Amino acid sequence: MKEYALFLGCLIPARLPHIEAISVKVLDKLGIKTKDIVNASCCPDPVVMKSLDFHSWLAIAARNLSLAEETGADILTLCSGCFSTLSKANHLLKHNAELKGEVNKLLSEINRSFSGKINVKHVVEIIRDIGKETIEQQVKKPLKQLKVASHPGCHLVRPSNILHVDDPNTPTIQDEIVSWVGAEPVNYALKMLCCGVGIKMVDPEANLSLLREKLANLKETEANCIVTSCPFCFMQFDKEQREVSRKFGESYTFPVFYITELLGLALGFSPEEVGLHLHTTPVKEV
Amino acid sequence: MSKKRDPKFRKEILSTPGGETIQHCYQCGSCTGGCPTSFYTNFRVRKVIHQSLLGLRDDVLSGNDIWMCTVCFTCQERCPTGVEVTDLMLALRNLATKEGYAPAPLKNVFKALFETGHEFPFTGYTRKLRRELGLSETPPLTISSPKALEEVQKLMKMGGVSHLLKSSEMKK
Repeated sequence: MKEYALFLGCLIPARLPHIEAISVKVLDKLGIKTKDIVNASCCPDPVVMKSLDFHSWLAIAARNLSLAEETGADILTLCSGCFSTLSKANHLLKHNAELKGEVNKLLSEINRSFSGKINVKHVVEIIRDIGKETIEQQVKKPLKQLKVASHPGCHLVRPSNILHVDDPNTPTIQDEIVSWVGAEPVNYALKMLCCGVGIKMVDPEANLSLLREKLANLKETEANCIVTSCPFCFMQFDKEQREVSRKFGESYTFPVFYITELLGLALGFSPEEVGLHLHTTPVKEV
Repeated sequence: MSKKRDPKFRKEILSTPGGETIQHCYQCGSCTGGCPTSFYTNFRVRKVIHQSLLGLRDDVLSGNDIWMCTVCFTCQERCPTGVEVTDLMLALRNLATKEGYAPAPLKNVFKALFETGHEFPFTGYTRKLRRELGLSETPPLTISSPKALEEVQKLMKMGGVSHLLKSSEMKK
């Protein structure tokens, strides 16, 4: 059984713990064990913290990587923000000796060091790598009624010189998984349009306009739900649809799934175990 | 009206992490063309890069434009000359932060991280929800370890913008 060091981050354990719970259960069923990274902090996030101070962003990321290195396992993360930060920091420190020296000098103040011996993986690529055959064998309830619009999100695939999960412009990784659980992937023009969450704090109006552009495009398709593998995108779609509907006098009620929730349902976990009752946008007829 | 130019600005950007590739820009505008916020705001990535190359330091660092980037990396992926456009916007934000121009909501995130080790602190509701889901109330993260928090705080203080911490340290 393959074992990974689970990097929890902040948003999932503090605001969306049902995603943490179902992800661990689904992974276990698919033969993937996870262990804690004790004393890990915020990754820190690749939008706010990296904007304010690159150096403390990198130092804190390096501390987290060094804690994971101690477990001897590669990192598995459920959050695309954490994935972006830890992948970029790991890449920089592995390939830039000068930067590694500077960071290790800082880390020595807290008796830690970065050595560069592990890799960072996103849960969606781990699921993809488990493969069609294994997953199809485990499916108890094929999700035939779902026509799924996949929102991969920016930080799963970009920048493609650092992240090598899938094509940065036309990723199909989530669509593949959707089809393995018996649901129908639906393609749409604005698949790679950003959900807008990155400017929510500075321009809430533009943030909602961006989300509306995406939702309006989805409404033109056959899709009856959305799947994503980023908790920030998940929150944006699940919670802000109501706000978009109100602001623009339109109606958007797409149920939103995090990728392991979809797998959880297909593998036979109950809607309650998956945490569907904790969603803001109601999920019916599953 | 001619604006004040700072001839050293280009060098300053080039030596800021993320700003190393700015000189590859030949102003084609692919970045603005693909920018999701350019449809809804006055933010024009190409213009910010041009202003920066012209040395219009005050305009760039004190303005709102650089904060309108969603960090989606569409421009960086498309740039035909390899400008790391998104990383460049973040480099400009780092310089603006040093000058005291960071927007307040972002500074609050910085403080939350300093005070708890996490950007989304654990509340009573979080703990209740986690218990109901069969998870440990507080996972073994920085949130549960004063020693781990001390380590994170030490690293943040050694960073370049410890002035952002002053108000939160005073509270203690």
